[in-house]
Amino acid sequence: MVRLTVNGERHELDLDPRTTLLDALRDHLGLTGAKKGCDHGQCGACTVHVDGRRVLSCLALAVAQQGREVMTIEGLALGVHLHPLQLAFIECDALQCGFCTAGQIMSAAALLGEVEHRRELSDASIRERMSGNLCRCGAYPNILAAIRRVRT
Amino acid sequence: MSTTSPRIGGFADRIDARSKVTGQARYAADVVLPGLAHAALVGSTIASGRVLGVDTARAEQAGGVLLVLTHLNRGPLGDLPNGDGDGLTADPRPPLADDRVHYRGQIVAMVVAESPEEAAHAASLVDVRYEPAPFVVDIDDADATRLADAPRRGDCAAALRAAPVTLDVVYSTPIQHPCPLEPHAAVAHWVDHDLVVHDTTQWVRGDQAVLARAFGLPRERVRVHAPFVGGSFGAKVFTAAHVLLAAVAARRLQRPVKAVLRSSEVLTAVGPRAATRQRIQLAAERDGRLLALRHHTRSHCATDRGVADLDPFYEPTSGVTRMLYACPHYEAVHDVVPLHLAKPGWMRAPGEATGLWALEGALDELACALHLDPLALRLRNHSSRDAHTGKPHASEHLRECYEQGAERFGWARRDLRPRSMRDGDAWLGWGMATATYPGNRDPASVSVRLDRERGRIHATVSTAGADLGTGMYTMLAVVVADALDLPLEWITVELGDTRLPPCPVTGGSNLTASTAPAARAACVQLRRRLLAFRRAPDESADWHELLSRAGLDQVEAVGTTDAVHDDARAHHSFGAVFVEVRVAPELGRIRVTRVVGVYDVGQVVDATTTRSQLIGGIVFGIGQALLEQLVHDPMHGLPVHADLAGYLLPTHADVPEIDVDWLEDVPDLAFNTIGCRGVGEIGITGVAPAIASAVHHAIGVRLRDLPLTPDRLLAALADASARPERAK
Repeated sequence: MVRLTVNGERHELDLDPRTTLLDALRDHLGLTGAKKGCDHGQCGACTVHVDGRRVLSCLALAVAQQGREVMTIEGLALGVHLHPLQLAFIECDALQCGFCTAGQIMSAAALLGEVEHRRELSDASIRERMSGNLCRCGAYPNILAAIRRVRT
Repeated sequence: MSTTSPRIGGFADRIDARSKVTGQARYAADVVLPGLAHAALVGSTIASGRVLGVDTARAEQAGGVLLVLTHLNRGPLGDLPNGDGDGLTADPRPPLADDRVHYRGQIVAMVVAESPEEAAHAASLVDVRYEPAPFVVDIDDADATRLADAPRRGDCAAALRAAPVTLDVVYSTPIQHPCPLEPHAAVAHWVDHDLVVHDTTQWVRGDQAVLARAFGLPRERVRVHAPFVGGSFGAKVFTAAHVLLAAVAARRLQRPVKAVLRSSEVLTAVGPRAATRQRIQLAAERDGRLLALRHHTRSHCATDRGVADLDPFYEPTSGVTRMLYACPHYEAVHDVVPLHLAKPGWMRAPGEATGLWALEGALDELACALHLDPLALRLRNHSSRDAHTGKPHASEHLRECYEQGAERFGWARRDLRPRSMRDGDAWLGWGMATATYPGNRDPASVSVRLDRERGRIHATVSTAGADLGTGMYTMLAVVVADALDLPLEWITVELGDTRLPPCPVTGGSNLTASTAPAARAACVQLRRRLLAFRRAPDESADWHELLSRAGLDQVEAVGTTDAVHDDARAHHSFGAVFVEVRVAPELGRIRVTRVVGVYDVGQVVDATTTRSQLIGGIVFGIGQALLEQLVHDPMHGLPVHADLAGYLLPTHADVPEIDVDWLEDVPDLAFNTIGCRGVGEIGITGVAPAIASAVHHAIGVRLRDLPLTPDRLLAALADASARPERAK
């Protein structure tokens, strides 16, 4: 049995030891917000938080996450109240097809925590820090605008 | 929550955005059904030859394995429709049809197991023996066949001989891949002998037609769902092999089967944009007026769809070169080179993105040779009609795009001379190009239904077409909100389902132009029916009240659009794109630092999603220009980097501020009742040549082969310093 804490809820799962965190979330817990793009840690669509840090869930084995707090896009909003980044993504149209969106938002949410609030965060720095999250639709300028909106 | 109704042309929030930012939007691979089994594919490890035998024993004995399909046990499948606009498959033969192998990565077996892990493991145990045959994967290394279609006007050869100024250059583009972030996926299951498929497709009705033929079913017994598609850019038009095989396995096992491609399989087995080699010969007067244009293209095609076949897909590069500029003498020839690769397919602006790379590049060279401003050269050759057919453009405002784009960019301050702007160790350069894409429209139906619900009205808008991230959901909601004075919150849009009213493939930037007028036509019918119940002509239209007076809980109308039949006029979108680059000569690094694009796309329906589409197209153009190429190993026939670490897509750090705008009040009302043309593709066009033009302006070297990688720039710089530029 693998014990996972996801979005504050505890789960006991009977998992093949080869199961990645991403597959555990998607196939075993029905949390399909995190997406399987490349399955190689190259696109960022599977980004979730583990103990508050952004992690590529396709490269993490589920069994190794026991005792840690996993958060997915489904756990980001407070009930019906969207996280400020989720609102900003809507307002700035920071998405098109939506496939990378959960990863972009989770990555951005962690990014905001990685940088001390007082420190200035330049556009170039946000772009660099977000470059692990690919968006083939090319919503990058709008994603940057959304992150800016929340940061300031 | 706002209760004002948005207007056509205004900025609405994307109506499906909330479901996407919360992770609730369900894509094909997200579908879970009771008893779901998982498939894994086995791709050939030779590029050409035959399968001598498949030993499936070890795979079949592996844990959780339910089925191993090969060409020996796949069972019958009907012939597949192809090329009739009625469903398309990449391969002319059904998957696992026989023992022939035409490209590396062609599916030779599919394993189905209880879990994805078990399927993947068992797939590695399938032992395939091959008889390899010679193969070729390099477009410069194989014989070409000339296509019969060779558009011409005037006498190109004579004009090229007699002209005061000529230019003869070759531009190339590599194999590039649409590479949507969502890999292709299908979940197939059978319900009472009917087939239900959740697919990643641009065209649910195309899938339906192919699957119906393959399984000998009437179409209405095949249902295809694609409510959300994670990008496509041309890659999801064909009904792919794994979709058919998932349906075969689901029927055999009497369980739902999910097949999801790995990104390596997408890059190997899903058709890319064909490689091109394009020779452009220009003849001009000394003032820059074009006299002749000859465009000779080589592009690759697949070997198993022989050139003699009726439908060799070729990258249609000359569609744009023949129509764009006034030029009395024109000729295009196209050679196709069969390669042992997956059949090329479509990628955003097929033909335009590649054809303009060559044509606009050559024009930039001509401008330099004549010491003319590149924009002045475009204006000198401007055509207010399709230069090839002679049909006048119904609505054409390219000059205004040039003017407004130049103004926003500050183009007038540009010094003609290369190496005129230094920034520390780097050089800055400014370049520009013309953008264009045809207005396409296809027959479509959209239904609009009004329901009385809890004291207010609710509208449901339905059509089978798919939103690939394009903004279809929002666009249709805006059209209905505008026509019926409803707030967006009172409107639901249903898309991507074969049970909804017929709609064409989402492709060729056609869907807005096809469905928006149909949606409005449906609203016009509803208005007419309900307004008859007003007590006085000046009574305000309260649909809830009017429905109640009519004694109805619900009213529905279907609007339609037909295909374009315009013998008198041409319909094209246009634009002008201006780019600034920063070139670091020591590193060979090119960074795009600024982009301005101004477009004439007719009437914009929704400004939010239009802006995003145009920006997205420009980002695609940055990838085309600087990063993307799929290189095949000539020894083994496989891509040397079939993943997203090797096939480089633009990242956040590659994309600068992008300033896009469009002309207001330029509806193309001869095209449809709203006057809108699609915006999905025009954004990519012109970007790559504008970047190359900017690189030349920055540093004085001309790059003609995409992508503009550091090694190529360094080699060109070394070459230029070894050979001082010849006098003009």
